[in-house]
Amino acid sequence: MRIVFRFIMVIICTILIACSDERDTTSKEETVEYELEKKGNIKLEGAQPMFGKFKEHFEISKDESYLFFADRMLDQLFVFDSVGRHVSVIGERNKGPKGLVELSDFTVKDNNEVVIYDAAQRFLKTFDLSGKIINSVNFLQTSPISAFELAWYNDKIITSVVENKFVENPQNSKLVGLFNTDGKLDSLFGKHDPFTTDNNNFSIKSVISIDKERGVLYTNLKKSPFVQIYDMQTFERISYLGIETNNFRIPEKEIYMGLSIPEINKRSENVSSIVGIFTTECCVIQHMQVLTKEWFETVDFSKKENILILYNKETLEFIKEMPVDYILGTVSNNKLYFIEDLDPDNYTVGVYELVKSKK
Amino acid sequence: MNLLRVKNNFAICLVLGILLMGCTPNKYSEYYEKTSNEWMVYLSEISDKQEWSLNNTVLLVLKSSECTPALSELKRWDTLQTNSDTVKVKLIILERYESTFNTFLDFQKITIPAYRDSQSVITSHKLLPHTPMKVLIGKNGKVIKLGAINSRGNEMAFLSQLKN
Repeated sequence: MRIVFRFIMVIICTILIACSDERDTTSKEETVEYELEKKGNIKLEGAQPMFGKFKEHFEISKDESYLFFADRMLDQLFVFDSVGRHVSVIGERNKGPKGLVELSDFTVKDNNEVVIYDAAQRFLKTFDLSGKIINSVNFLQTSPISAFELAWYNDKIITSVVENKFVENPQNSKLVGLFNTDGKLDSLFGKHDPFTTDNNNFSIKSVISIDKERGVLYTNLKKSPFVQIYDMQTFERISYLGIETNNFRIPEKEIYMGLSIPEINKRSENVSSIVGIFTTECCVIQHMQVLTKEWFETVDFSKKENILILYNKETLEFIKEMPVDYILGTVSNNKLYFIEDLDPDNYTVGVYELVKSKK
Repeated sequence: MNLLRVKNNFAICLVLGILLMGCTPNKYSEYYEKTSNEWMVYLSEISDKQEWSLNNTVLLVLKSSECTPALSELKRWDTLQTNSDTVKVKLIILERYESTFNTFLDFQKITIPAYRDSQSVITSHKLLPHTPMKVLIGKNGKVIKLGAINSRGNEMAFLSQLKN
């Protein structure tokens, strides 16, 4: 009996050891982390003191030869080459053929021509790199929709939109407008993120990004942590992803239309906003900012907190939330461009890549 | 009898309501208590320029990235100060970078004497609740009028306080 008991004990111990070995093996498995690795700097030169204050996000041409910065003070577009030398200024400060009253957004075509949306004049104006105007077309002049971000895809202009009749309940509005180069509407599709009813915040603007290789469109309501993905062939939504990360915050007191601007600013303190959505080979990247009290007092871009939220592009699983020191200006060809110095006399863009690190 | 009682109660409530409203402090009251001396201390902190007096002065406080309505009023003040011998106008821009400040003045073609508050220290001085705002300092060195800078701005109505 005792021998049998000892035999059983030996077997149990053997099984336990085997199991614990297996657990050890599991813990030794390498988990893949993503980190930012710096690859270089681009310091803008030759345009000072011409520019006043660039918007935070900029664009890079498909061939990576040119960088385009919109000046929010001057409503002009400044072009630099890939090493930061000033090339040209696009747009004039008037209402003439080249004139821009409000540079609302712009997109760079594959041939490096630039399409600028002037919301004040309701024009789309196309320029070449030297600033010569190519054409000018009416855009949304009598249309029942308002447009926000522009992108260029297969000779069409894509914008995030809201139907004006649904401004107060945007969850009922179409989300994306597809326009021909003559400014005429081709189609409207998509729906605003339903989170708009839960976020305690009046929000109608979405950021957009197109993955041209895959033929999919990523959209993100600025006051929502969630990303909607649309198939650009069928215009059907193929995914709705995202989580409310630690730094995602909605206002404690509701923000609604009709509040005074000082009150909106007060209620927006420490509230987060998705200001950009990008993709690399591996990841979908949300650029989130937290609006601080200092930011509202100074309108100094560096006073906002910047956080990247990474999702696996294949599985759409959450990877990590990554606070960063600088504003993410854009992402192009797997490179992340951060604005490291906002001083016009020393405007510097740092070039980074997301690299796998094994832990 | 009941009707009389209701009427009396209504009258009492009305009187109390009016009294309470009268007691409610103006939301800007603490900023009206500021003096030209406090404003001069602030200006000396952000600039080397020497101001001898801020009496009969309008101070315009803005950020460099204000939207069109505020900038329109700024331009009207610029025209007004050029044509006025009785009132001084000064501009304070909250802007971190000197180049941006200079480009702003150049672009807006502003001739009003301008200061740059590069660190937004106006917040710590608690001189204004928010920006963009304008302040009128009277001949006795007291703040006599505060107002937002926007499309509804009426400069002459704002200045009419000086005559009182």
